[in-house]
Amino acid sequence: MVAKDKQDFLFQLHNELHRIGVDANEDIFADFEEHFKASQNEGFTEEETCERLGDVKEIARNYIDIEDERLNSIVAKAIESDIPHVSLTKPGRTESADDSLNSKRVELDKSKLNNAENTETASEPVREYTPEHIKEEPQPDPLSIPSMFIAKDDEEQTAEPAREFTPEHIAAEPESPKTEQSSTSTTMGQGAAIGAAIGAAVEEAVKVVSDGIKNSVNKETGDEIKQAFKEAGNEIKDAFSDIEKDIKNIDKDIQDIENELNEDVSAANEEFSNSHKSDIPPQCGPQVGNGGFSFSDIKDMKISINWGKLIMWIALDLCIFIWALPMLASGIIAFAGGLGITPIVSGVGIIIGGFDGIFVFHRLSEIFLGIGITAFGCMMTGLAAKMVKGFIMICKNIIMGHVKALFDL
Amino acid sequence: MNSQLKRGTLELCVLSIVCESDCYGYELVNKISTCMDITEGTIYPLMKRLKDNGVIDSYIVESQEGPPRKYYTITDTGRIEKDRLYNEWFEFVDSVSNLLKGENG
Repeated sequence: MVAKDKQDFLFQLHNELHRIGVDANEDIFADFEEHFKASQNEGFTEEETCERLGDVKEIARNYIDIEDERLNSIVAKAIESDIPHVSLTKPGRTESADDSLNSKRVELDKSKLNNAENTETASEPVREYTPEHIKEEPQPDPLSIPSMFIAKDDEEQTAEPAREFTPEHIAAEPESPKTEQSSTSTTMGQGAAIGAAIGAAVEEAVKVVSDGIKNSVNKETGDEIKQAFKEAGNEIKDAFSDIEKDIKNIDKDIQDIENELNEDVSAANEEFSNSHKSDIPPQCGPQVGNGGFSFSDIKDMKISINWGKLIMWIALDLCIFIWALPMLASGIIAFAGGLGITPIVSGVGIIIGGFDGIFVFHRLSEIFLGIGITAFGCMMTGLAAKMVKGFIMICKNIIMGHVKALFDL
Repeated sequence: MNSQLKRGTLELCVLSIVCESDCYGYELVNKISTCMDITEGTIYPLMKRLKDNGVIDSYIVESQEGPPRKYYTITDTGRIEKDRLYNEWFEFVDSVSNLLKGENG
């Protein structure tokens, strides 16, 4: 990838060097700073200079120490080819990215094949020149190269003393199918299992590689490979633990949302039942006791008056107790008169008339009393009717009980 | 030009340029990129590698008008290496041209 400007170039270079494990010291950056300044003096913009400098990744790759270039390129490519696969499984990335990567790989393979053919055709007459210049060439990606080609490579390697790192690059191969298999069938939810699987695969690969190295390479370089593969494995593991964390976070978010929704629903229910409590008649509400009315039913209810019913009941009260009014009034006034206050008899004669002589009632009092007695009589009649109805019901139940017994109902 | 050939000859080119006269990075990059189509940025890693191998050395020159410049110079081992590569190159070219001539003839 070509950088945008100097800042971007240096930033990308730093990241890339760090990623492939090159010790990025100040000298490297000083070289490019100087280059940018010199280029600027010549009248080039930073963007143009970046374009001429070329791909940052390629530049960074060239910093891998030449003595270990082949080894390092195996490792670097292993990192390069594995990490994108891992990151592809992160939420938000799509499968199409994976496809494009694969197609890129296919292209790479093709170009490598072409290169390899060139090498082969050129190898015979220029035997002496070949070793050095092959040595500088980064090792073809062992993970993506067709197996038939690897076999050819091996033959050449046994013939060429320069190629002394054969075993580990073959040993690195088994890693490929495992990694790819698991990563292509990846879904987000399986992150944990796949993380473990890839981690194990990488560890295994490290083991195989280190075994291979023991047989062929000296200990120092072997350790370096081992270390590099371990780092690669760790990076993959880290990536997967990141995914696991992400999944956990998402699960938590979902749980939170569910909780919030539940709270909202219950709050809405409560609000609804509060605002409509008075709409629900007690008989529609929860059943209390045997289904009858109890005062606890109206404990928390708001008052909502049905005026028609209320007036009817007050009128009935008046009818029933109207006869008591003159009695109450005359009682109070008589009590007052008894205390020595001159009764204003003439003014309230009507009321006092209730007790105007023994067993003689004032005419109005007689009317009041008549209404009261009638109302009371009506009430008693109603009560009697209820009692009769109840009695009839009991009789009916008794009779029905007999009938049910007879017919086994 | 074949990328492998390019890589192989790049080192020889750098050594022979530096052998002629000391020069600084940007100058070197320009000289090479005029005759070879290369990723210019890869010259610097190459210079670092050559320096690590002891075939070239570098020194800083403070300049009045611009920033300090890093100049590259060839070492004695570098001269030997350069001669070796030089011979190898012409052997290679000769054998290739012989081959081609033989095919044509």
